[in-house]
Amino acid sequence: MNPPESNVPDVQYPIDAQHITRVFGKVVATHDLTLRVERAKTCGFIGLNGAGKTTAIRMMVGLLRPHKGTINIMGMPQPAQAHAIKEFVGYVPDRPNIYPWMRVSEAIEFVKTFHRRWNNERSAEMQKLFKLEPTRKVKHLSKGQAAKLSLLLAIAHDPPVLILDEPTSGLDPLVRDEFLEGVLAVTAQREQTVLFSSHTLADVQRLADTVAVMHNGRLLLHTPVDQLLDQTKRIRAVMEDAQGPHEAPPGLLFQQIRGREWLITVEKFSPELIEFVRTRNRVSHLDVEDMSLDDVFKDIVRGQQEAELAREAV
Amino acid sequence: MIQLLKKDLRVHRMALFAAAALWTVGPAITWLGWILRGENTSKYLGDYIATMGFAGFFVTVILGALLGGDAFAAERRDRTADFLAMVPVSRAKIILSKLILSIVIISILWAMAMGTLILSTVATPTEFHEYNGNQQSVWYPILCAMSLTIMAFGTAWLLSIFLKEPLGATILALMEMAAIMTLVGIYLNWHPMPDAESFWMFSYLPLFVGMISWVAGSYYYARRVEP
Amino acid sequence: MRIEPDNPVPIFQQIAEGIRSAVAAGIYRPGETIPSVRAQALALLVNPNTVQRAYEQLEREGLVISKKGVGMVVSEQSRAAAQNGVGQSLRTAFAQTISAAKSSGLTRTAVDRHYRNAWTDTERAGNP
Repeated sequence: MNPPESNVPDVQYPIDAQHITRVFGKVVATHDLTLRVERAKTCGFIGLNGAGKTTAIRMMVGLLRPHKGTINIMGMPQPAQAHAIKEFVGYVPDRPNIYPWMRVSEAIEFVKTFHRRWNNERSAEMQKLFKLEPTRKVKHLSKGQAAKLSLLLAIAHDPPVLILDEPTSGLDPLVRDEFLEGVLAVTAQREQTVLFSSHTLADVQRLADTVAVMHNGRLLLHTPVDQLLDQTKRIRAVMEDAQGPHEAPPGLLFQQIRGREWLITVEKFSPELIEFVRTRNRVSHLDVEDMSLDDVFKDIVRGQQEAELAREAV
Repeated sequence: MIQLLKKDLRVHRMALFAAAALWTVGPAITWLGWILRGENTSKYLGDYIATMGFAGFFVTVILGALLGGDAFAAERRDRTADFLAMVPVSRAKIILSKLILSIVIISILWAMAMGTLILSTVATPTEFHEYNGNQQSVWYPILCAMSLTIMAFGTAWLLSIFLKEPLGATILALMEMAAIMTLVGIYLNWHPMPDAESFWMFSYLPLFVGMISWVAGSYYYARRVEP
Repeated sequence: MRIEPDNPVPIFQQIAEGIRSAVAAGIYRPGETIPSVRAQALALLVNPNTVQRAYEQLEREGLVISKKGVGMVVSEQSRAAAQNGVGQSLRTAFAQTISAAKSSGLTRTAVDRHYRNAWTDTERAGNP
């Protein structure tokens, strides 16, 4: 069932979306979105609900046509070559959509028929790992089991590209770990290019090489996780006078003033910023805090929301 | 392909059941009546069977709309259309599978209706055979019904590509047909057809409308990105 | 070994520290292999590239040696190197604690006193 590996195109950016724009009536779901994921890297795609992640993913996967821009998956244009691309992409949707009347074994047989690259060993291995009962009907599967079956069907044909849309949302903590184990069991080979959107930022922090933040249809940033966490820091200043002016340093993402305590989240931390705050303000104490991805994301988004409110007020 | 057919057989189960139910009741009673007739061979039994036969052809119009409406809307409503879209199978094959199923069902229904009509000629005593001299005119209503079935199917199929509710597509298709037939009736009232043959020619129209709808819908669906 | 994403320490460093502690504690002895990148990634549910990065750091430190066909083998000088490494992270942890204490206004004497009391507490709890 497995054709020689030379059939798989060798592409530097297997997921390559350029300036894609999509509207639904008056709502701009994605605006001029450019996102590239490098080969064998994992990109965590984060953003609030309604930021446009699912729309972007559906366009990448070939379920939706962008109004502007181009998408290339494995070097092939989407949706023009959607049919050829399907062999090379595994997609796990946000909600399982397998025929509910099929049994697990029937669903696997069904999908297997159409994939030339189907890997029987992989399929059997995952069935065992996930403890999926072959005779159980899909509608009788628990949420976690249905998610695992979706994953199996997406992965069993050894796709070089894996795209998952909030795959662990609504799963209980134990099942979530099992699901991620299933993903890692395959991607630990470090040959696959993975894009996954998630609200569980701890997962993104652990599993992703790069993180892409979306907000209101726009991509705010796409950087390596380590780099983002190295550069984004929170300066904690204790002011002499709570009422006095607060002159914030350049690269401010978000600030919070709670009485004498002033929390400044900056995007490119350097010791000069500390000096700036110290010399321009009357501070009695300064501290620098590291931030988790959860903290960074929230402050970035809060900063954006404040900026939007300020623009609207004008 | 077999997988697709098996899948479609299950997905469009309700439409198939509707067809099966209508046709087990109709001919079952009819043919049972014929078998149990005993000494009663009369014109009325023959008439009754003939009526059931014609009725069968016309009921198929509704079933055509049912099958067409179910075609794509059912899977879109269930969101399984997305699942199918991610599997490497061409739109052409998806369309073909649903078409084959529909053709088979409609053909079976027509065959059963025809069978009932043939039974009616057997059931009617020879001296009451009204159509002896003019065999052709019995075909007019039959072919008209077949043509209307294709129109119902094609229109519902086209609507099914855009709507999310199969019954919606079915009902819209039937409403559209009723509207057209009413308009045609009004037209014929003002301009009556000179003879029966012209009337028969007229039933080419629903046939074309149905086929064009089907082709246009299928072509659009094959090219569209959204499942 | 557990990975805490919320912990400000980068994940690859947490992994490296975990391995160092394990070697220092004798869980992995010189000559034995530590879990492969893939196995470790699966066990911790972490990106294998991150595990790779941790292992590369440990290799640079001299804690482990990469042996073809075998894996990452704990080196002979490992225990000392590990304890040295643990010492480094201890020093960093101390620095952070001291900084926090200072920002609350505590003097060095007060911090030392708290430190001594903490030792007494752990001894009482039964940890030698």
